[in-house]
Amino acid sequence: MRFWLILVVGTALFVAAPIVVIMAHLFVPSHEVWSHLASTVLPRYVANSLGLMLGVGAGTLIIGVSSAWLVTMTNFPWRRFFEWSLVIPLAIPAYVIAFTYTGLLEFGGPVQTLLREMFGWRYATEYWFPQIRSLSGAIVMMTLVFYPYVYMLSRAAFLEQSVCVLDASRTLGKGAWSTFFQVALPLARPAIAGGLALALMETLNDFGTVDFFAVDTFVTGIYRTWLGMGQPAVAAQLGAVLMLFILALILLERWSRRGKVSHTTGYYRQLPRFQLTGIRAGLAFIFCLIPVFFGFILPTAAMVIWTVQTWDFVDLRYLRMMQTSLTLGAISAVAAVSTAVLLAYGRRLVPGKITSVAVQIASMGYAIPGAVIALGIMIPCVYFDTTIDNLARNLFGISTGLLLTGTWTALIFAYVVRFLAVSSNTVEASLQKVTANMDGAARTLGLSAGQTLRRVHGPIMRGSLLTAGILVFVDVMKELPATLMMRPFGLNTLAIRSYELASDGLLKESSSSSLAIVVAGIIPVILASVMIARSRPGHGSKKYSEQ
Amino acid sequence: MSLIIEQIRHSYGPNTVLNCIDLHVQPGEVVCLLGPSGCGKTSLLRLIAGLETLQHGRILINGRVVAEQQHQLAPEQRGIGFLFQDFALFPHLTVLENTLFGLGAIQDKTLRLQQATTALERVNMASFAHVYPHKLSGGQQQRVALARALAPKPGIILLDEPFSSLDARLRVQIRDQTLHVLKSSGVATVMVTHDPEEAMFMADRIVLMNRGRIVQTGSPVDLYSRPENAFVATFFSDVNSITGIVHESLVHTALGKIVAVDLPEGSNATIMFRPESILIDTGPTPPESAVSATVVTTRLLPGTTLVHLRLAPDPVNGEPLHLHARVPGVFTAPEGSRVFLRVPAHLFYIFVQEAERKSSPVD
Repeated sequence: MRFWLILVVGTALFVAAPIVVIMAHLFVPSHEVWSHLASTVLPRYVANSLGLMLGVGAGTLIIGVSSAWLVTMTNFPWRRFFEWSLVIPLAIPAYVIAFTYTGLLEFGGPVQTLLREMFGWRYATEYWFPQIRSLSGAIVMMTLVFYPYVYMLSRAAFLEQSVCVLDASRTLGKGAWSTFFQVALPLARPAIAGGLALALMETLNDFGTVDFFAVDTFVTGIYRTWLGMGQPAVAAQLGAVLMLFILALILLERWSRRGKVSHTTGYYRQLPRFQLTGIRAGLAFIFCLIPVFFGFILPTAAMVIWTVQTWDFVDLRYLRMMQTSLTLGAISAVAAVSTAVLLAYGRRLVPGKITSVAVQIASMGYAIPGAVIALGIMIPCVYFDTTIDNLARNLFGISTGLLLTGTWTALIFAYVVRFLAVSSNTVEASLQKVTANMDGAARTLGLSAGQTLRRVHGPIMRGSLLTAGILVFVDVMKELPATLMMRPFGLNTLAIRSYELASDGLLKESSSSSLAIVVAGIIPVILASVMIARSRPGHGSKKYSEQ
Repeated sequence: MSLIIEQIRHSYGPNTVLNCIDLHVQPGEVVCLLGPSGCGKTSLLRLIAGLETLQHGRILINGRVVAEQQHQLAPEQRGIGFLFQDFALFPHLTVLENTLFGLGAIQDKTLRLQQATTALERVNMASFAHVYPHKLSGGQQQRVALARALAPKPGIILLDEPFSSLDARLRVQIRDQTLHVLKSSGVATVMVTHDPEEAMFMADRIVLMNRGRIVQTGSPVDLYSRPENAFVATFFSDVNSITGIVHESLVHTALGKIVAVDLPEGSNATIMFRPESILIDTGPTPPESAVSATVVTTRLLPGTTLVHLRLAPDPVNGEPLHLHARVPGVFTAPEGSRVFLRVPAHLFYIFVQEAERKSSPVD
């Protein structure tokens, strides 16, 4: 037990170190730049960040939960198609969809050109057209690509629910709608809260969209203070304030997860679906089609066309960048999931305040902007490298150079810090599938805690672990600011290329890189969707075949 | 193998759930920990298995200390079988794989397979070897869990409410099978239950617990017919209870004078007797020392009839006394008819009534 306690606390502290570095800057005496920031731009950062969270939160909840319920519990034309395709917008990073819609909707884009041709307008002053590069534009862009977090987790929760519970509600006189609001929704609440928290953290973390749309948020402020003004300490202070902000969000999520129900091994049957017909089926179809069309089909089609138009940008360099992105994603996924399993299992073995606080601190990275994490890693790394270098030079007269700064190790560590929560949420939820008595059974049958983890938890949680890994993989593929800050010299990912071209106004040219991120993201996203459907006991796979 | 538990005390925060627990279990003996929910019996079981960390006291298995404050063996090192309330079968493994799970120490694969199959055969589940647990009924799952726990041939098996998730009829059948399996394997058994009938059915010895303490230990007959206090008496069945004041070692009641030798003069006495202790006479003339009563109503139950009787007002509180009697077979006297009843003196349990706590011991 002591071994597991040390392991959990040690791992958590290590993962939390960059965050602690940033938090420590709360206590650093404030710089005069800081007071200048606080009196000028800080209120705008706060207002914009809050506005984004509110808008994206509402949007992802409505789209995510309703579509999950529709495809899980009802039947309508093309339902099976929507089951997996609703997840797909997750493959598109917010900044990519922002670049694409800007390309489509700006003055010179195809939509406005068409309108002008139809109505004979010539100048922008002659007609009104919504400005995509605005706060509401950013809300729509982020909702379109972040709702799958809510969709995936609530769908998984709906699938896990014992039909008997829903049937019980029906026999107690509740209709389909009451059953949804009074039984299914409360039961799924922890999962929905988890999904919403992910979506909101992503919103707060976004750099590419708000930077491109010139909507000043905390993150762009931090970025600018560090790189533009050359004030890492002040940037870290901004980051620390943002973290307090985010802490409140995490506490809110934990609070709404209280009373998390673990479904008894109970009885599972094929889900009986409410058959929708006529108008209702049509509405369900349209409701599910909208997010898929605007979140994926339309932007992807645009990207495909533009990629073809700018084909000479697809060269050998491009392929090498793709390989780099895939490798980084795969390594980080394995590292993050292993760490999450270690933490979740250790917390279960050694229940109590200490481990639970440790795990929560370790998971905080997801809420922290990539740029801030990069800063939190760079500051100690640079310190470490200089110390070792000085030591080696004094003792042996040789220079060790940069050992950590700008290495793959440091970059992957940054990804693990940042995306641990993604895997943790899924791993913790799936750990509940293994009842405490199964632990006890394995132990009394002669297995140690470690062996139990490998032979009982591992196989039972396999589907969820893969899901967790895929979520991390996709996130790493899309990650922009941390990679931008921390990349080893000469390392280029697809995300960086896409951002650099778009920032130069080459929106069409950037779409080949964007498209590759999207395509690479699609395959694991479909896999994840299939895995969720299979993870339900008594469903799908051979082992848990129909009763 | 034998099990010795010495002076165990256990608390969760400020709540002491176990206090002064001493228990010896002989090889091959079936001991039931019986008590109302929350009396600490499951905690005791988990402490024995090592699933919970011992805070105070000692546990010895076969003379070897497996847990004391400074040194605790992990559950996997204790060689104990555990049957869980929800069976805790591994959903990703077949019945056979579940049964093989605890046999990793056996190197020879054929031997291992043979031992698992034997265990399954003993519970008549060998034909389900390749089925996954979710396809089994509750009773089948229970049997597989029992086979899995017994397969490594543990010296001691712990059963935590093993029949509570089964429906009533199945429960009777399964517990009979379980008793035979346990007895034939000669394993020392500690079973937790809240059902006195189940405890009496299964146990060589019952340990009755309440509020974290052992109230009385003994054979089912001991506890049933010689309860040490009112809690023990009432736990095993519905009892009739009358009160009276001790005067010169006698208590005057509606049932006549009852001898209460050891009770202090002037104390309030509670006199209890089981429904089946009442002898009813329907004849026209009253037998010696019988009192008359009216039949209120009768209900036929499996094997017995429950007779509701009304007596003349109680001398202490002046209310008419309502008694339950159980007579074998069908009781023919009609409602409202007059009968005579008496209770043999040795079937009275007499306790001093205490103002605060009803369930405290007499001595």
